[in-house]
Amino acid sequence: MATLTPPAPTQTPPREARSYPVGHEPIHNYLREPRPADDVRGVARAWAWVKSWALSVDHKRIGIMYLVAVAAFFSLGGLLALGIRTELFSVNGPDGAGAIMSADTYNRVFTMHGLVMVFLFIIPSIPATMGNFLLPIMVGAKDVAFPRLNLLSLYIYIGGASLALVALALTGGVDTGWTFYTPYSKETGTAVIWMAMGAFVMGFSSILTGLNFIVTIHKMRAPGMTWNRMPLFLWSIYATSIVQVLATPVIGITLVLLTLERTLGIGIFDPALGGDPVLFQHFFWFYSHPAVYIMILPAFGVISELMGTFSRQRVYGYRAVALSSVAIALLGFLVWGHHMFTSGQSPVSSVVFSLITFLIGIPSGIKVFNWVWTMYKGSVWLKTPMLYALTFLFLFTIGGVTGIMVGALSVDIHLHDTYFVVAHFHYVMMGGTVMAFLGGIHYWWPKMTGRLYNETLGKVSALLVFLGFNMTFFIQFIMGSQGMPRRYYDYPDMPWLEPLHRASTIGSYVLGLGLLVVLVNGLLSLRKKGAKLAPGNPWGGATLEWTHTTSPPDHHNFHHTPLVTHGPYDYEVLFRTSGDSAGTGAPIPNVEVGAPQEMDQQIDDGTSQPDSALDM
Amino acid sequence: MATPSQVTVDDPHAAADHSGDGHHGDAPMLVGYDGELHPSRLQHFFVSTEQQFEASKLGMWLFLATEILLFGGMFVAYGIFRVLYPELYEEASLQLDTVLGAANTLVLLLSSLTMAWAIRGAQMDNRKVLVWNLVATIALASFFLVVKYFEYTHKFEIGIFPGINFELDAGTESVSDLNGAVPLTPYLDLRESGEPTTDVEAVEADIGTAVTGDAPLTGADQAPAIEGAAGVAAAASGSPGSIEAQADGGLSGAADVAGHGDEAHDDHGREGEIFANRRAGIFFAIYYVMTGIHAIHIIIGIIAIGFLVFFAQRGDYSSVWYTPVENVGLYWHIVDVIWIFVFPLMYLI
Repeated sequence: MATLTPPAPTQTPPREARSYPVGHEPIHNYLREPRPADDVRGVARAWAWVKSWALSVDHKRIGIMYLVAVAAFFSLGGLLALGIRTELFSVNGPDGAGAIMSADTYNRVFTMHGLVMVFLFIIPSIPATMGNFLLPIMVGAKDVAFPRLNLLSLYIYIGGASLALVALALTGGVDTGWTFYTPYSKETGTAVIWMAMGAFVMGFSSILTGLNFIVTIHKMRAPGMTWNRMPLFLWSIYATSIVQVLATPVIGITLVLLTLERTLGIGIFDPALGGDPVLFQHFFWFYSHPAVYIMILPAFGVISELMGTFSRQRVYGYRAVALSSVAIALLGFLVWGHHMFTSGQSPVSSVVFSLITFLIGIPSGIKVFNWVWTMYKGSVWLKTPMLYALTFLFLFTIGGVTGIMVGALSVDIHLHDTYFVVAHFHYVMMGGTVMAFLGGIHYWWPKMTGRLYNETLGKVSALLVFLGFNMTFFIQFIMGSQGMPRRYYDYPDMPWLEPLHRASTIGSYVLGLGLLVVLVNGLLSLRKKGAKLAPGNPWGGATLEWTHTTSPPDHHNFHHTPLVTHGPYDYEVLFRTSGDSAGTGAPIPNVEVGAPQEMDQQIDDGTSQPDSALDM
Repeated sequence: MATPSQVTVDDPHAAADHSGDGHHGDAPMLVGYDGELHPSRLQHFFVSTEQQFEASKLGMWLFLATEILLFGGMFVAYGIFRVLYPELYEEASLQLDTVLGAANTLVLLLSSLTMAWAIRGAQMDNRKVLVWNLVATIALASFFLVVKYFEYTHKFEIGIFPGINFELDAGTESVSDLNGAVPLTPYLDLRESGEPTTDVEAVEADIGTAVTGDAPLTGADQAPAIEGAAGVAAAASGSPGSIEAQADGGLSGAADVAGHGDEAHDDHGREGEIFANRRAGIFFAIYYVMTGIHAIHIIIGIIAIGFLVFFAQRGDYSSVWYTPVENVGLYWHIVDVIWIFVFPLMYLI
């Protein structure tokens, strides 16, 4: 790092700080500090700015850098998806007439869509962006336990992503499907090694992030932040981190073995040499099934936060929701075989895997019911983040229940490798994780940037995304149950599916438009003139990032280490003693819709709800 | 402190040092075991040195968990193929030198002792004990690698290569022939990497010469790469033609064999049923991958301990702060423990 000045004796608050509540001006806000000295000008100043970000070990800046990278790769993966849908808009004519891409190109496009979305976007999406930004603040720490390791994991991620892009540049991508199944991944002429090494390298980033988070949660909680006072977002990130640390090394060694298979012909996955290609599938899914919980568990955490804050109600069944995250993380290690019902594994193991798969429905159901119950008799405030949370609830329930369907042995034999599975996966991953990601980004955007976005545009985007998503993917359940196979670039034998494919494609455009509105809305809120500045606690949240930090937060998060005296969803306490522990609280916004809670009658201690249900 | 003219970054919290390395002048000092003051190296975002030490140690333990899972994948592969091909494992493990393996086990155990001793040295503020035990650990680790080098080169010389490159005895039918499997197309990788096709043809020609007559091996089945080709030729026949062919091969070990013909194999003890086992390559693939990745860990460990020696003789570590020594020590022990599992599984049973 560059040489540093002694601290300035007095800091003049920035001009616009006047609109912040007294005592809550973000004087040392992390977006501005550290910054180049005033006497550095021109190119040197720009370079100093770049260095102050690129070399920053501040978890907030790292989170923002992740957010930019992840958003870029989400856009890339989204464009590839639109390419897939456009190709499927109509049945090709004879000899492929009317196709916008060849079958080979299509194979690469859907493979790269999967690889980019899984490894480059969705695995780092919530943990690396919101997790990095919020986790230390939520536990009341100044930073994660290993800040430099945190920065390193960002650069490892970028390095791995670069390898993936090299694969894209060399051979136009890989055509194995994102699963790299042997023996085809050994035989194909595309750049499998580059892509596999990219995923291998990104695995280290994932491991280091998870490791950092576990240690931070274990060792760096502020005084009074007991395990049962941790926000549910932290619980879910904790469960996610366990999976990241324990599952990712296995995909690492699997991809190394695949690379050695291609370079040295070691034969472990090669039946011609006595090897076993199904072993690759076992190895792959031993990571990749827990990996879907790496993707969805942080989303559960975000939804818990949104449900509490926007219902003005303590999240019902706090411990059940918290521990169900851990239960899912652990059970998730025992179900990988349900991806392989048709692979020729033994019938006994298929039955066992199917049974354990059903078990995962229990903790997932616990969560969904508790979220619904949290809204019951609450003051539901339909702001943009809550709209996304409700979308999540709707879509994830469909995705989860269809998951039980494909987890059932007999049904899965029929539905295996059809669009039904594609639709199920997208309902869980896009309808689940991406909706939670969008909801979380809208929820914490004022905290991250210090700006308020346009609420109307936000609601429009939520509506477009909801409609577009369902139009795209609900139809695919129908197509799948009628036998439309996945990964085919044409369907000449099933011309009756063309209208459905067309509707699905149009839906994907609507979905893309909705996501574009999200992007525009975010960028608009960052404009220099006319943007609305965010107060410290625009939603009336009760977790530390809302009650104890400014928007955007101080360079060191807190002016003084917080003393936690109440749970994360004790909104009634917040009404009395809001703000930082000095008692100079930021004003709590009034809930716009729904009846305001009668404080003297309905102080919710979290145990009264079953009774009130009976009172109904 | 810097003069304003040198300044590029203006951080109001500079005194609190957010660079995160803990190496700053006004760090708190603590009294060590020796009664002297030592810098506590407390980073600003930790409350206490105990918190910092425990956090580092927990992080290291989690990292070790990932190491176990990394090797766990390989142990699973080992177990599965052991169940599938039990006789193969019994025959193949006879090719591993138990004496050298045992010697290496002893060496690694000793190095764990010196590592633990080094940590004790740091805890007692005894720099001499710390530095010399670290040096001894490096020496033992290097010895391990030297032994490993001789084990590897000996195997290369007698044609024990992983997977498809394993040199079967002349007259043995290749796996793909027996399984009725589609013959491998071993040149795909060459095509992908843009190697000139003339090289591939040359290899094919070499093999063609080598297997003329008695050997049933076909070039397309057995030659995945140029260096493999020479090896296959060596196994396939001792005819003068093959010797010339191998002279073109890139691998020094194979070329060496070529110079001696079949006698070289006898000299180095190329005997046993394993050389007629069509699946022998699987065992040695697992052997090379496991011991190879383990050796990479040893090398990383040597580099890490090298850094420790540098900082230790500079006097950075004390009873107040020796976290890196502790953590590298933990890493070293896990590398040792993994070997303790690899050794009996590979060499003894």
